[in-house]
Amino acid sequence: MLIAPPAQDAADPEVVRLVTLARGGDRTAFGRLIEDHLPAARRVALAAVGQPSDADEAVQEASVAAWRRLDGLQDPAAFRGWFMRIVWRKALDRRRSLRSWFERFGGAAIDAGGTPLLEHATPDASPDVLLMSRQLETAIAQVIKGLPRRLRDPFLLAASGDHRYEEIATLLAIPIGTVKWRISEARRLTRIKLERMGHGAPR
Amino acid sequence: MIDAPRRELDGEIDRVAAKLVAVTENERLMQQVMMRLPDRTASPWLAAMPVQLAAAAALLLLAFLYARPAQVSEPPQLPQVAIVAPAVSPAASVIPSPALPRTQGRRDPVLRIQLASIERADHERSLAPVAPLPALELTSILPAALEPDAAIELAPLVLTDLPLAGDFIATLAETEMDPAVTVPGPFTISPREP
Repeated sequence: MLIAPPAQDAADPEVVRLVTLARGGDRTAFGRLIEDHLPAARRVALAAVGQPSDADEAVQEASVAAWRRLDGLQDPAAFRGWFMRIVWRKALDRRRSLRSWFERFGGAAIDAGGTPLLEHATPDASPDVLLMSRQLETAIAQVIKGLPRRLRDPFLLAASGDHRYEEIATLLAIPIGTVKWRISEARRLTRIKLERMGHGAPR
Repeated sequence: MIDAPRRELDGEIDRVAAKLVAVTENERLMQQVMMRLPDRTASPWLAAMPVQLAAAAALLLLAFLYARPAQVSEPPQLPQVAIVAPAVSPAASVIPSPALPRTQGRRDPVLRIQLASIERADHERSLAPVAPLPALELTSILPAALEPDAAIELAPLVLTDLPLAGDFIATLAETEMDPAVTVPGPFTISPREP
């Protein structure tokens, strides 16, 4: 399996120091904290909303919320998980508002499978292989976007490579066993749908 | 055992999923975040908390004082009860009524009215209290003023049984008994002869 959640350092003394400074009103320290966690935060938000612009907006809102609620963080060493939960909730709020907007005024829903613009992994392949691979990537992306949210969310969070199963379970407020089952189920459903679409194993 | 084509398909699915959440560099994002950060001062609600607590305590104190019943020192009730007490019918105390139910837990209507009238005695319209009569009048007489051989005259004594109840009076009327016993007088007491 390619998805291998990496282990994260839970207690980073530098994080504790920056959180302490930020609590005192040090904007620079808080900026350092956000900058260190910005890529992971953007991936978390992207897993929820699907569009980079919406993900960045959610991250901004989450950063402002974290800045305001920094005194509520009991353990400074747990800043990463605390900040990711805020990002995830802000992204979910944005996803709900976007879905309601699409449902009200029409247009493609955010969960609908759009055509992803994916760069091919093997640019030196032959044109036939390139075409087949591009078609497969497009099909996979469509199928993943069409998965139920309860399966797609943990699957994309795990695919980001930033979170362990425990962290995903905390983000989604579900047991870790449920996280593992949903990830496996998402992959199985994707595979079945691809086979029905005529995409077997890549040649 | 998972075959190789399926494993390759799973790998392709994971690779595409990772690309779906891949982000590109956004240099402006960090600047936008820093620009949106507000001044991190104490929130107005927290800053105003001592004032709010003091106001709440003052309101609670006022509410407590307003709700507490007024404790006005009242004069003793005994003189008022003594004034109103004769208005109570003596029949109720002299002739016990067997039909009276037990008043445990509730009051008889008649007694309730009487007690209410006692409790709410109208001091302005009630009779003025009667001053107690002096029990004895003593006149000091010097021994020298007494005559040694004078006789002491006693006025005739009249002993009368006062009627205590209506039935007693009725019984007296039927038997035509004179309730008064008169001791004839005057008597003269002379000094004992030696």
